[in-house]
Formats: sequence, C-alpha cells, structure tokens
Amino acid sequence: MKALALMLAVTMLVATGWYYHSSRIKPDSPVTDNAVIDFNDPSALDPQQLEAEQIAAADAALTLAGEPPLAGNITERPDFVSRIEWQILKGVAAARENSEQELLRLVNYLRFSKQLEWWQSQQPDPNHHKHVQIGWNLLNEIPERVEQQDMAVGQAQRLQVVLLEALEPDAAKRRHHLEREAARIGVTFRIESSSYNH
Amino acid sequence: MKHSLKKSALLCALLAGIGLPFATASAAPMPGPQDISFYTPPVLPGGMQGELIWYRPATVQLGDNASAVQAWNVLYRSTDARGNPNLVTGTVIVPTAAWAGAGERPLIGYAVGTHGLAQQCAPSMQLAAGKDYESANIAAATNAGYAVLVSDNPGYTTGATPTYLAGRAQAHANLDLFRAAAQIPGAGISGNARAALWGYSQGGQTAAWVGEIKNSYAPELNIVGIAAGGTPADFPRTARYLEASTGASFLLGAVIGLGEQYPEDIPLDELANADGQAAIITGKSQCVFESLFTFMNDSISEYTVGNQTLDEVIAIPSVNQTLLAQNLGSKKMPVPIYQYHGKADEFIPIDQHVELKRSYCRKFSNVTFAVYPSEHIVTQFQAAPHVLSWLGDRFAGKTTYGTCLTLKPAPTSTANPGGGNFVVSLDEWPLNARIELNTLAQTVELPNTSTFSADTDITDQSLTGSLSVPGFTSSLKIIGIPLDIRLQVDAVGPTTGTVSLDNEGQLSINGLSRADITVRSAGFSFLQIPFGCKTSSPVDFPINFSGPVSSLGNGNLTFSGTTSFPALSGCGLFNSLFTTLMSGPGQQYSFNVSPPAPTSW
Repeated sequence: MKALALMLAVTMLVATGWYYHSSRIKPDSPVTDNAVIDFNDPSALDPQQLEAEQIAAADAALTLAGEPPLAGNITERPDFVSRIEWQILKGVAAARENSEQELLRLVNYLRFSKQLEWWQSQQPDPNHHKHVQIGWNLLNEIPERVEQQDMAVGQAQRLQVVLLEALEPDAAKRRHHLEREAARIGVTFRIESSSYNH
Repeated sequence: MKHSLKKSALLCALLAGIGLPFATASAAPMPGPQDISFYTPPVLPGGMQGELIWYRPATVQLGDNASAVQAWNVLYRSTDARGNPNLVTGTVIVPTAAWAGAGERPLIGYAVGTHGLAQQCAPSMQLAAGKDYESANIAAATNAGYAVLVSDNPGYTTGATPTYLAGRAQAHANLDLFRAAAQIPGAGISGNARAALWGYSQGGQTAAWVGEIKNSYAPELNIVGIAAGGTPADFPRTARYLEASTGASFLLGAVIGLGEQYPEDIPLDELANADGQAAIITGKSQCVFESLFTFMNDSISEYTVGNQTLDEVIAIPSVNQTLLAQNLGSKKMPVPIYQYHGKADEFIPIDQHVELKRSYCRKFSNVTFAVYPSEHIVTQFQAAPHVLSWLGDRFAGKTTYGTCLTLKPAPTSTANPGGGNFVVSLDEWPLNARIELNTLAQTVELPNTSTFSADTDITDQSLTGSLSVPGFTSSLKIIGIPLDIRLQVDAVGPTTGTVSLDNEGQLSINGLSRADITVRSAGFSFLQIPFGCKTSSPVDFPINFSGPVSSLGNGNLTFSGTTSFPALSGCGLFNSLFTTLMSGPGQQYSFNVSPPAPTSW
C-alpha cells in the first residue's frame, strides 16, 4: 500500500513537471504550504500546488539578482527553493559528512542554475534591464561556482564567453573583459589585437 | 657470497677444461654465477638429461597482481631435436605461501610463446627485468598456488642461437626442467608431483609435443593434463598463412630456428640472398615485438637466392621433410588435452588446429577444444582463467569427457585479412562500466549488455570504435525519496584515439568517447512518465590506458578517470534541480572492456 502511495506521489510530481514543461502556463494557485511533503501520503500532494511552488521558487530566484550567494548554515527553506527541491537537496546533503556545507553549496548552485536558465530563455536585449542585471550577476558568480566544483573550468569559460557576448557590445572591451574573467577562474591567456581593430 | 659462487663456477669450468671427471649424473648441483656468466655453461662431460648443472636465486617481477614467490634460475641438461645433448636455461617459480590443496604442490610447466631470438629475449632475463609479456599468465598460475617452471627453450646460452620451433627440442627442454627443478635445494619441488604443461603459440606447439613424446622421453613424470593454445600443428599450412602477412616475422624466425637445428636440411647460407642474410642477422638481434614490426608483411621471396617463393622453398625435399617433421597429430595424447584457439587469429590459422583436434580424436585422445572469439594475442591472455580451471580439475582428478563428440560445425576463421595493417578488432566486447555521480554520491552501473567495438590499428597507431549502451533504469537513493529514473547513454560520434604497442609489449591507448546522458523517464517501478532531459552537450570520456599487452585479453583493460557533466536541458520545471544534482566536474567513471566468452567445439 505504501509502495502504491509512493508511486502515485512520484508520478504526480513528475507529471507536474512534464505538464509545465509542455504548456508553460502559470497557474494561479498561491504558494502558502511550507509543510514537509509526505511521500507516503499521496493525498498531501496537490499537483497544481506543487507546480505553482516550482514557478514561485523560480521567480524568487530572479528577485535576488545582484545579491551574493548565501553564506553560513541554512536552517530554513529559502523562497527560491521549492518544497520538493528543499527535501531533495536536504536528502542529498544529509548523505554527506559535511552536510551543512553541502546544503549551502547545493542551494547556491540551484539559485545560480535557475537564474541562468531564465537568462538563457530570454532574447538578449540591452534594454531588458533585468536580463542584463542577471547576466552580470551570473558572470560575477562564475568563479564561486568553479571554486565550489559546481562547474568545470572549461564549462565556466564557455559560459563567460556566452554571457559577455550578450552583455558587452564593444568587441575590444569584451576581449579585455574576457581576459579578466578568465583570470578569475584561473585561466590566463591574452588575446592579441587583430587587424579587425585597426 | 657472489664472489664465492662465481669462483665455484670458474673452478667448475676449469676442472671440466682439464678433463677431470667431476660432473656426473650423481653430482650435486651447485650455485651458479650471479652475473651474465650464468648463461655461459661450463664444458662438462656427458650426464643425464634433466640433470641440474647450476642454479641461483632469482628475482622475478610478475606484475602488481602477483602473489609473493621465490624463484631460481637454472641451467640443466637436455637433448635437442636430433638427440644431441644440450644445455638449457630456465626459471623455477614457487609461491611463498604454503600449498593449501591436497597432496604435494602441483607443477605447471609453462611453455613460453615466441620471445625473440636475441639472448636478452630469454624468458629468464625478461622475467627478471619485469618485462616478460607472458608474466600475467605466469602470475595467474602462481596465484593459484602452483609452482611454475619456465624453460627458456634451447639456444639462449651465450653464443648459441635458439632452435625456434624445433618442437621435439622444445618438448625435451620443458620435460627436463621438471627433473631439474626437483634438484634445487630447498625449492620444495617433488619429481613425483602432479604436473601439467601449458603453452600458447610456440608454447602450444611445445605443450602438444610434450604430450606426444612424454611416454617415451619422460615416462616417470606424473603429467595429468596438457593445455595447448594457438598451436602451429601443420607447418606448411602455417608458413603459407604467415607469408607476406602480419606475422611474417614468425616465419622468418622459424626459418632461422629450424636452420639452426637442421643446418644440412635448411642450409641458410645457400638459400638466403644478401637481404636474407641481413634479415637473419637482424632477426637474431631482436625480441618478439620489435621483430614483428620489422618484418611485418615481408615475403620469403625477398630474402631467397633467385627470389624463390615460399612454395618453391617448401618444395625443396630436405626443407619439406624438415617442416613435416615438426607437424603434430601423429600420436595419441596420453593425458587429457585442452586445445584452444582464437577465431580471429591472424598469426596461426585456426583450421589446422581444428585438424589437429580431429587427428587426436581419431586416435581416441581425450580432447577438449575451446574456441575464443578474438585474435592471437587477446586469446593468449583471455584463456588463462579457463585453462587454469581446466588444469585444476585435472590436478583434482576429476573426469573430463572432452568434446570429440560434437554436432557443432567446426569453427572457421574470422581473422582480419593479412598483408595489410596490423588491426586488432574488438568486436562487441562486453563493456562493464560505471559512473559515480559526484553530487549524488551514487554509482550508476551501465547495463551488462553494453558493448564496445573498435578497430585498433597498431600499424597506423589509430583507434576507431563505438559504444553501445541500451537504455536502463537506475534507482537514485535520496533520503526519503526513492526514485527510479530511466537513463540512456548515447554515443555521440565514434570513439577515436591513438594506440601503440612498443617493443616491450606495452600497450598505450589515448582516445575519447563522447556521449549524451539522457533521463528518459522518471517514476516508480513500472510506472514511468516520459521526461526527456539530457546533458546540454555531450560528456567527454577520455579513454586512456597504459599497460602490458596482456591486458587486452585478461580483463585488465580499463579506462577510468574523472570527467565533467554539463548542465542539463529539457527537464521542465525540474531542470535546475537536475542540473544541480547531476552536472559539474568530479564525475568518476570506469569502463572495463573484455573479450566475449569462449565456446566449446
């Protein structure tokens, strides 16, 4: 019986994700429930509510643009982490010896990922203030993500290129900025001037 | 100590030189010199075959997986193929751990494969240097608790030339080593112990010859089984297979070796042209892998006076008679024999080994024939655990009925065509792979039906292959949330890289496999909801390996390392979560590939 309940719960969760991925319709359900999800009690799971929670958490991540990553012990669920994400991240972190530090890393990487996902979903537009602001925020946070082993140096450098391509229209400034950003993640190189600039 | 041993050896030689009758069959063996003069035998009056002339403690390096052993080098009397006395060197290896089985510790005579004609190629020297390419098989035998006796075969004493592939001489040398080993003080080897012969390629020839002559040459030995793989049993047929082919160096070696044993019948001075004489000098100076590459695809006609073809040379009556004298299959095997051969053997044709089985079966020998899927070198090392299991049963006195009565069709060759590049094909080899997800701290095992196929072109030093991984389900164990996800690993493009085999048998592979990792669905048990998210770009799996060539066959070919997973895409509302959980550096992987299992025939 427990197995059946769990099966239904997980099915609903996954179906919720698939539904949102397919439709991208934002439901109106408010997010108020902060209770722990009981996977043994499918009646406690409301697919629409969980979907709304995912969307609300994604929105909350965008409001933090410009703010540094969280620090210290995280004892309460941040707004940009949904309940299901919170339980999963806590479950993953709990399996580690340094569970508090691991939870902090996971939460910060999740926020970064949500911001990046939103940024990539938007068309680059220098007049889109939020897009630009989050782009710079992401660029600024990349070294931290590398240091935390969330991202390989090569991946980080490619992302720097993509971000700066959108954020810095001046090619010369972009190159110099790229050099500086690369140095922040331990990559040193110098782009020589090309005939393009002469 | 070293000084006194050398003094003893010199004294021995001096006494022999002035004709004093000191060394007889009953003379006690003495410690031999510690340096290279061990290979310079004293001049001695006649003695008994199998008499131990001298010995010395030796250090052998059998690899990281080998259990502790004690070893001795030996110099002992034997008889060449024409009945003349000779002196042969070898190595006796005894596990340090006490024998845990019943009775006395069994003995395995390990008949070596081709090592090369130069003195430094002698197995005893290669084992001491930790460079013997067959050490993995020898270690497998010592790890099983057996004492292993490795004859160098005749011709590695200083100034001599190996009588390579003179089967009767090799059999004599390997049988006499059982006798000689029992004379080493403190080695704990009994001349009455259960014994077996195991050899592959040249060693397969030796092992089968041992079976054919054992009752007449060494009837007192308690040999209970013989394992002979990759055996050249029909010399003319094998010679034609090697001619102008990948393994042409073995044919050149056979010409030199048989010419050394039968100089009147194979007069190399008369048969070889200037290029041939130069090739003989080169061949005598090289070990097996260097020689393999030096003479690959060469034709005998390049080296003969008047550019006689192989068929013309074989048609010379004395040559023909000598080759036929090396053929196997004229006698009944006195003990059970395990014959084995790789279907894709590019050096020794499987058809003539199949015929040998038929010959033995017709004489009511007890034959088990195993067919391995791969080529010559792979089969040599893949077979080790099967051979040792079969020999273990013989030591234990278990009955074997063999496979003479079979309705299966005879195996036929799948070898790559000769005359071109040396290509070792890995045809749908089982892939035993796992990926350790860094953040989740969980291991994902790829399904055991995964395979890796590749052509490793040793000549061009290139590797091209492909991974095949069926979809599979893995349970992610997150505290409080048991979730099954259906994963798929899809190769992106071919696996490519470089491969090389050096003159000491060291294999190096440097390549790259790329794959998309897809979460096909997620759910619980049989109820799966399509999901469809995957890594946003292919994951790089570097496949780098450096180790002995035996790793190709013995299951030790493992590519492992750490890679990075990119962010995931297409995971809907949970995309960021999946990216957080699965992407990033520090993802460890291990891909082990090994040849498919053998079959019996």
